[in-house]
Amino acid sequence: MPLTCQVISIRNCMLLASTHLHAKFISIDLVLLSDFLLSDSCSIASHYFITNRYLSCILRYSSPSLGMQDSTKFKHAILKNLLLGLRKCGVTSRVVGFSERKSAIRHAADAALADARGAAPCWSRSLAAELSHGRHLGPSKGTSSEGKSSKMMCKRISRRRSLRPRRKSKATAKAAGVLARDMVRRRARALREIVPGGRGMDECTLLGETLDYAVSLEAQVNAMQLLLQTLHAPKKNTTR
Amino acid sequence: MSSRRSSRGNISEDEINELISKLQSLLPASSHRRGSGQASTTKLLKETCSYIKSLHREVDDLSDRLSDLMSTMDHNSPGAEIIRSILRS
Repeated sequence: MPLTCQVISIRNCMLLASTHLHAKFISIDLVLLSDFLLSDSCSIASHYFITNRYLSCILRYSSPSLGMQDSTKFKHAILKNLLLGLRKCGVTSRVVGFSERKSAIRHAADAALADARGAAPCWSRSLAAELSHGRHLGPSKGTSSEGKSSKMMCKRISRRRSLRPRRKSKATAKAAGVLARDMVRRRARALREIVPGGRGMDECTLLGETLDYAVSLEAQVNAMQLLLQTLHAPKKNTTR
Repeated sequence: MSSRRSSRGNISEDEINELISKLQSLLPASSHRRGSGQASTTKLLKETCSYIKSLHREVDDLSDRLSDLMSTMDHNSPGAEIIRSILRS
């Protein structure tokens, strides 16, 4: 089937992006790609070409995330890891049951997130450890699902549970005093259940980790939404 | 003891306030929250908890939809061909 002019212009845009390796170009591509795929004017062959080419660009050229400053790069890293992980799972096979497939996808998404974020934050390492030990429950469930090594890992880093104020320098003592009141402690306990590896952290670290984790989760959600949108669009053409 | 803390980096009160304000700006419904008192810290943590939980639910829901997408595709449709080529090549 002949390619339309739109396809050619998008192809050129992507070639440009792949040679420049610039995140801004890729984000422009994202918008173009979504718009294009959602429009009626593209043929199946161009779908195939575009999506394949685009995704192989992502897979080949995306660099490891440099940190939370560049959220687009981070989102792309998650998307890349997710695609690689999904390939390994064989989720397209028909013999796999629905919930099995769903948990495989969830597992791949969390592994993609932890891997893209790297080993810098504690939650990332704990999450990776949980996943490698075959976590079956959600992260908010009890400690039985956490691998022992994730606990030990976090314990190695911060040996104490901070359920009571400790002697520190004046600034941190005052800060810990602010944080260590009863009500806050209760909330911090709840937060510890939710953030992976939260149990081994003192409250100050917990705050920072929570922030990082929340931002990373947002990127994970965006990456998955993007994937869903990209994969969903070709179906529109089948109803024509 | 303080040496153990400083191995993690001394977290001063300023940094904690910065973290708290960052969390506040991150949360979707936090526009009207002001003040650095005890109560708002608690509320902030509670909102953060529910925000993270809602993000978890959203990831769950997205996994659901992705799984649904993959299971309901007709093997002969062109859309399925694309999906399989992406996920298998």
